[in-house]
Amino acid sequence: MPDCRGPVKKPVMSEVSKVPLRDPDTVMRLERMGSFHQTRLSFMRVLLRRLERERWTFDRPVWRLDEAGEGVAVYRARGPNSTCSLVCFAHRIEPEERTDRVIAERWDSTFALVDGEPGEADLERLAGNVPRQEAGRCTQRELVLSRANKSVRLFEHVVDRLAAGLQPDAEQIESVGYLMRTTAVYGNGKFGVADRERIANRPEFSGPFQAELLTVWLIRAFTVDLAEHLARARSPNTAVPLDREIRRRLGVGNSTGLGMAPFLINHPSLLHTWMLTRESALARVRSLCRATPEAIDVFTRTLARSIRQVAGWRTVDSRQRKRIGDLLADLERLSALIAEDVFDKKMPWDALYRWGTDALSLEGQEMLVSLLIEPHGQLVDELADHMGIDEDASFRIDGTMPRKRILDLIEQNYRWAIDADFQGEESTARFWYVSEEKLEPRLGERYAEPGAELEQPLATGRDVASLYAALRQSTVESLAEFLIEHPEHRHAARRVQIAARFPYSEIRDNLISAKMVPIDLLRCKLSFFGATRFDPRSDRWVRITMYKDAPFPDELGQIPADDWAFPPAHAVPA
Amino acid sequence: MIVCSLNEVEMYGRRAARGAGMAWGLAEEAGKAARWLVARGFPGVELLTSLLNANDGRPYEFMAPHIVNGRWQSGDETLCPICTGAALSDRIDLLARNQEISLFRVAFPLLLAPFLNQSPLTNNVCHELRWSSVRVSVWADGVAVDSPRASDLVCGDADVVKLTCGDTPDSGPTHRPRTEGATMPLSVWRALEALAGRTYVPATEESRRRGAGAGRTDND
Repeated sequence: MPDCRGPVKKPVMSEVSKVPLRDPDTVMRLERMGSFHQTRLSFMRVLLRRLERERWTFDRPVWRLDEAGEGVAVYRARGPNSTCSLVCFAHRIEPEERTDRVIAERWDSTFALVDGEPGEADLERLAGNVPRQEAGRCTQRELVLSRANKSVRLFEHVVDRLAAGLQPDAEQIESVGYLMRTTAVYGNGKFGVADRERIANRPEFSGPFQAELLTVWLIRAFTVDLAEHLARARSPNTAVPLDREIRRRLGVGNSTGLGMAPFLINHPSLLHTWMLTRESALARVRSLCRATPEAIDVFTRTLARSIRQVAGWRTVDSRQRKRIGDLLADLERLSALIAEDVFDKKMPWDALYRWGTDALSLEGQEMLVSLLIEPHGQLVDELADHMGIDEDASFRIDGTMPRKRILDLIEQNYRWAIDADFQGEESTARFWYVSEEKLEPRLGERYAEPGAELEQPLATGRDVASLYAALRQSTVESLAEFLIEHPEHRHAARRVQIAARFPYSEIRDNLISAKMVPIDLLRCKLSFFGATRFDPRSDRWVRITMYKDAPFPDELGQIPADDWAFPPAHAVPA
Repeated sequence: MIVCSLNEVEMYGRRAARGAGMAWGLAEEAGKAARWLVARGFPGVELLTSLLNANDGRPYEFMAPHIVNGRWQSGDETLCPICTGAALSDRIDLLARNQEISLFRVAFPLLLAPFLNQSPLTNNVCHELRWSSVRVSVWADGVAVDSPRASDLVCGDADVVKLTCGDTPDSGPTHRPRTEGATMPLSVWRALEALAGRTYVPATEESRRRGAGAGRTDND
């Protein structure tokens, strides 16, 4: 791999590349973050690479489902150091009970990822709690709690066809993309499950959301097994299993709302780590002096596959539909460009990136980032080992900091906030709150709805601007003295000190503006997970697809574990 | 009894502190403090809930420290250990080796201990808290408690709390961080939840529709 500099292991802001990291003022804008796509550093891809490398094995020791498809199943995942098991409960629910909203009380299937192997007593205990989800109680032996609802249309179609001895219609498989969609995946201590500390020192779970994403990957296997089971139950003599090529076209869906939105704001140093890793990967690739024939080949093929992916990306949302159209045009422009002698230049990847900043939409620019990173696994995959952080280490406020110094820091990192006008109704139109109903985060209209006095501290820009104004009025020497007098500014002061150490920690946009689009927050986080086919259902609700085209557990080791994030070039057999 | 995760203790501790009137930045400290205590086997949820209920509605100015010649005391009567702990943590540099700080009239003094652990200096030094018959030592490896009368450790107020900084002790910690969650009576947890509940906005049809913004049907 031709490289202009020595290898740098850990991503650091001072990473010595010919090309610097992108400026946080450019990257940390909500509209851009809401245009991110998965990359090879996305957590699902990191997980499957590990499972393959470590030769994990999978089986299904329990399958006790009746003819109606109700019952319990257990999937077991065995790695070099530990075993965990997905316990699945399949239920029958009425159509009127089926809602993806967190206020639901029944689901088609409910799940728990259990540390180790559950015995009969465990299964009995879990049967009394997991189907109730938030209303039940998990123990520290459970790592993840989740549930999923059927995509009724596709699920019925697949069961019907398989029962009749036929394969499902490829177009229908492609247009929906999954048999079931999860509507919540709870980890890290939620509803009594194990805290992250309990498993974070195990290599397989040390990266972000690895237990949650293992759960989702195993759920995907369950959704197909369930459909095949129902087809057999319906017509034992004619039923056939799902063709393995078609099966792989099925991912698992997810439907998510604002519950996920505050995460990126509540975990600033972690957000920084994720962003820094992605930006470091981009900077490393842009700094390469030359492009190898192998890298050009992978880039070219991935671009063709991404065009296929975008062409098949369906959404009901008009804003996203326009963006997909623009993105497709962008990718075609990119295809035309690379047909010329663009790779003969010095630092060709950088030239491509810089061309993109002028020529492409935000969606296109960020897809180009994913495409540039894709051929360079050897150069960037190690970065994925550094996507966690000890958040407690940045919690303490340094009160010895002079008042003037913190004013300087605000001017350096929060220009976007102190220059904004927070007097007008439009700039303070919303407020984030926690609803009494299942304690879910929601967004209210400050001037039209009650509850603004119970606002959550997510109005980062407004609060730092207010801290700035108060600091300028004050005459004390140190931050500590100021905070004893003004505890109301303490949370904002903490953020300012974190942002000084972690430049990618703060979303540099007004999160309570009337113009803010909440799904941009969800899209950013879900892209880091590795989700595709973002399908907004409103400005604060989105459906996605996960693991589409990825190997199933029984295929791991037989087909490449990490060649699925862009769909295969060939068509699904009819 | 209920077993709670540490994450639940922190989250509900933060909400409860906010519900009882603390500023968000202090509520964050309260949640972390409760978590730190329960992770080491101390009754952090009981202590925090008792404190919040005792101070419910009390103005911040009466609970926060006034620092005069090394004496920390409240403007009113008792110091709040969260407000005071946060101020101590901000100025942990004041507690240099062989220095002493005296705090007068502190409510639930064990709640001060988590704030000593945040010091960037704890690698080489040990912070010590003393009140009544109690001595609590906090250093990088853990916590050691010497409390001949158990009730003193979790008492509701101490006349004087002395804070010092010295060498790490020769003997090992009596309380190390654990990761198996915290077991407590359900009533204790419910009391914390009740305070946390003050931060929630009641749901209405309108907020259900607009505030969450889900699609109209999911039977597709």
